[in-house]
Amino acid sequence: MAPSPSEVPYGTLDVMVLKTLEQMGPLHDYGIARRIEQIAEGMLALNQGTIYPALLRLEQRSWIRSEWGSSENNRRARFYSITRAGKKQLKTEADAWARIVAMMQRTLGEEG
Amino acid sequence: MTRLRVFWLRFFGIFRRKDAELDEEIQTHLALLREEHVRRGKSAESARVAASKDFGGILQTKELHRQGASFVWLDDARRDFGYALRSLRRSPALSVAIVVSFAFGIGLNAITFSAFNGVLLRAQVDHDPGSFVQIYLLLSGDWHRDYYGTRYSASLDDFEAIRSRAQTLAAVTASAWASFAIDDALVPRLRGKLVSCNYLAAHQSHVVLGRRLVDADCSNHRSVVVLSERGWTIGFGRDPTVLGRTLHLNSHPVTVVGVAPDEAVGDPIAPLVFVPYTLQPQLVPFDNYSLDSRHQLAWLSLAGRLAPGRTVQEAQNELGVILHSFDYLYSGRRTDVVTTSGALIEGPNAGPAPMVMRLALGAAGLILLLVCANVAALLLARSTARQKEIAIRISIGAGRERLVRQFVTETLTLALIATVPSIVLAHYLPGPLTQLFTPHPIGASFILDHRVLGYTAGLTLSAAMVAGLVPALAALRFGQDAGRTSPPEHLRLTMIGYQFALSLALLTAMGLVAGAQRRLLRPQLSYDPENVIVTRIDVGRLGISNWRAQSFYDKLMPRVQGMPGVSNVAVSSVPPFGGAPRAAVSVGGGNSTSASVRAVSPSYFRLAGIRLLQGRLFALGEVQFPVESVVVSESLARTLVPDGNAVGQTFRIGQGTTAEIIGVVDDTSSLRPGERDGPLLYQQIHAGYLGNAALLTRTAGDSASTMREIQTATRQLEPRLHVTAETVAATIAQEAAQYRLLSAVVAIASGLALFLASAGLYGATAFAVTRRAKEIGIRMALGARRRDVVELFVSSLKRPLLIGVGLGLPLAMLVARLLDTANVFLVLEPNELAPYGWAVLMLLVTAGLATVIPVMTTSRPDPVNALRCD
Repeated sequence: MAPSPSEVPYGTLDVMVLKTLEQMGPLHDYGIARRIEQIAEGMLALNQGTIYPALLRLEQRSWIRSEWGSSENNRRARFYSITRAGKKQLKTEADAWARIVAMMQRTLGEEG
Repeated sequence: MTRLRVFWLRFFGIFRRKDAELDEEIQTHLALLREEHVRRGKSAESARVAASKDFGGILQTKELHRQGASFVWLDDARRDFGYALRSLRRSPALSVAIVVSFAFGIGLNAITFSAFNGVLLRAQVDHDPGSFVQIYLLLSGDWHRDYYGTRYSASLDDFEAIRSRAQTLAAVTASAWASFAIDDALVPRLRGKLVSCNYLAAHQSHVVLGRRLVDADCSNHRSVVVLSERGWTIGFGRDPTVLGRTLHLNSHPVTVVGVAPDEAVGDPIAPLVFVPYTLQPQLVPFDNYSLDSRHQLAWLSLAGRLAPGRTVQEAQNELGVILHSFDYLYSGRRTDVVTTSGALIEGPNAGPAPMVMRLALGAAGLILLLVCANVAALLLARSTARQKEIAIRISIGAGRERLVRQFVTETLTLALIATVPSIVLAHYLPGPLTQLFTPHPIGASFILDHRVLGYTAGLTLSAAMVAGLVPALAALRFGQDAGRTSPPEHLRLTMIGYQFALSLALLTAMGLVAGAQRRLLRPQLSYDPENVIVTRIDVGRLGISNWRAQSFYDKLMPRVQGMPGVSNVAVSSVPPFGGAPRAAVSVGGGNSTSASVRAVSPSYFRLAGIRLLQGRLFALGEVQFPVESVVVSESLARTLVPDGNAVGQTFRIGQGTTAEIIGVVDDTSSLRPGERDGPLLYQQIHAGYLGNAALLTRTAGDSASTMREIQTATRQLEPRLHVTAETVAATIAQEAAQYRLLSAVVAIASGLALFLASAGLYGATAFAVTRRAKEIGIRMALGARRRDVVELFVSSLKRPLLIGVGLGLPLAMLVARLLDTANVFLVLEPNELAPYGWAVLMLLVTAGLATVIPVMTTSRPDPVNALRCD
């Protein structure tokens, strides 16, 4: 049986958004949501609306900034881009993740 | 740091998108999603469904955004506030009425508090208040010394010990209040301070003219003075040539060397002149003391400046240690030191002031409570009109709590608007107001510090809660039950009842205080206080012997006796209503009590109209050794000798003298105006008292001209003497002036309370009459006369009046009890019944008028019209 798409763990969405913006450059909200869905390849059940609070949180911490631009279908859209502080934060978070993953692998590997 | 930043961003809602912007962002998002689905081959309709499925709930997204961007409660408050402003604009008359009521209630409280804050709670220092220390000495134990000024002052020895040894203080200063007669100024007297010569340099920031006092002025005993800016203005009209001029203070020539700024230096009263304390022996000699009695006399008030890095507590500890050394020197003396930051309320000599403050603030608080009740009644009236709106809001799902919050916010908005003028008044009014209560210039500055602002903010919040909560809850109950059309009438009447109760209590207090003041101003004396002149002659300052003082009086008294209109002349150790020292008295059997002591010449009794009940009065040249002959008042006689004849009994005064009662006279009032004296002991006056005695003259003629004649006669006998004279009536009036603040506050409070309560009742009745116009119309159509209609409404007064009297009388008794506990400053008779009766009567009449007038004026339209309306 295929694993059912899991909920987004709290806090990870923020990291995903930062990583996306670092890789792809400025994106509007839809673009960010699409990109995350693509990477997750159906492993995540993401309500696209949930990225709004995440974007707000990141902007309040000045890890991203936003400005109005125009989308590919010529509508006004808000484009988000990562800041210097955001890149720093992403690095911190990525290191932390790597440590946790390594630890979990060791733990689970020993058990299994 | 990030956390704090996020808090403020959220607080101000900086990233809060405008609803339209967020909408647009979401719409673009959805459009892109739809296009994606269409590209994948879906129909337009199913692409729309799929897009909104992918996106999730739009409303939830917006709500999540709102929660993240701001704080929900804050955002709600912002909305409530905006809503409140809109709904206040809808009923401007009502809003104005409420704002005015609030402004009045909050303003009264803010002004009262600001006044007390300036005088009592703030440190009385303008220049560098952080380092100021006020120093109080508390002496206990058997060892005794005399005081000139307050009990907490220091002797010259104490001052010099502290000045030479204290490490915690960068400067130690001494001062003493004194009043100087002056012949060369626009005013006859200058009240000022004898100061140590470092005083001005330590406590003031600059010089207005000339120079300050310097240490050399004191060490060289120079006859120089510095005027304060106020003294310069009052006494010399700001004449710059006053510098270098020679003035005569108490007939002693002094040179003006400077003008100091009006910066407060430890007292709420501003001194007009600063004189080096080394001039005390020449300018204000004490009876039997001079600078030489360095230790026996405490007269200097000490203050200081902390050395850098030291605290008030450290100074207190160090000064305590320094002064304890005197305790070893003088056995039986125990010295404690209290240091404060200069706020009078922290010091041990605050006296009844904190009590007066609490009473005045309490009275003002009661007024605010009344204002709140009134505002609540007005809001209730409006909630009837808003019934439909409330019902709609509830039916579309507004929570109870949310609605209550909205109503309270509306009230709070009104209260906040009212706070603005209140704060402005609290800044400007207390100065002129406090000046009304003392003849001396007020030097305290009244600024809006954190205490005044905090107190006002707290009051505003509580007032809004009190006034807003009841109508909000009532409106809610009422809105839920939309079928019920009657407004919460009983609630309004209950509230008016509470207002009546408060009014009744305040009216009673007014009656009691007014009664006390009447007794104060018109004491039941057996002479007319206008016709008795008290002349104070400072014979002691001549430095002459007691026998010369005796011969001075022996020459003066016959002269005064011979003046036209004069019927009696007497000498008393203390003037009428000037208080009197007390002494312990005991008879052999063990009956002991304390009595006030007054030394008088034999003629005193006739002059004061005191009747002899038993025995005899003093004879001239009475032998006073080994047993002193004394006259006692009836109440002292009763205490000492409860049964039988007091005449001939002997008892002891204090530890030493044995006295024999030669006569008993009736009780009178001579110590405090408006109060019977209690046990009083009369000694025959002797030369030892004459240095600082009072000459009493009873005249049938014009008091003013007799006063002038006495002054002339005195000057002829001894040109150097300084004479002050006033009538007993003037003494009493001065005494009474101290209580003006209290009686003014109570009178204003009770008048306003009654006015507010009756205005509330008037409004409520008028409102009820309009609302019940149809009912009245029907009644009148069926044959009711106007009298019946009036009776209908008057009968609805039953409830508020029952509450008012039932709750108000016990409350009034409580207030009377409280005032009586504070008896230190006013002679009250809380068990008097008349004030209660008058208060109830006034309440009944006012309530009646406030009901009958609106009924009479609004029930005029004829029944047909009344039935036709709506």
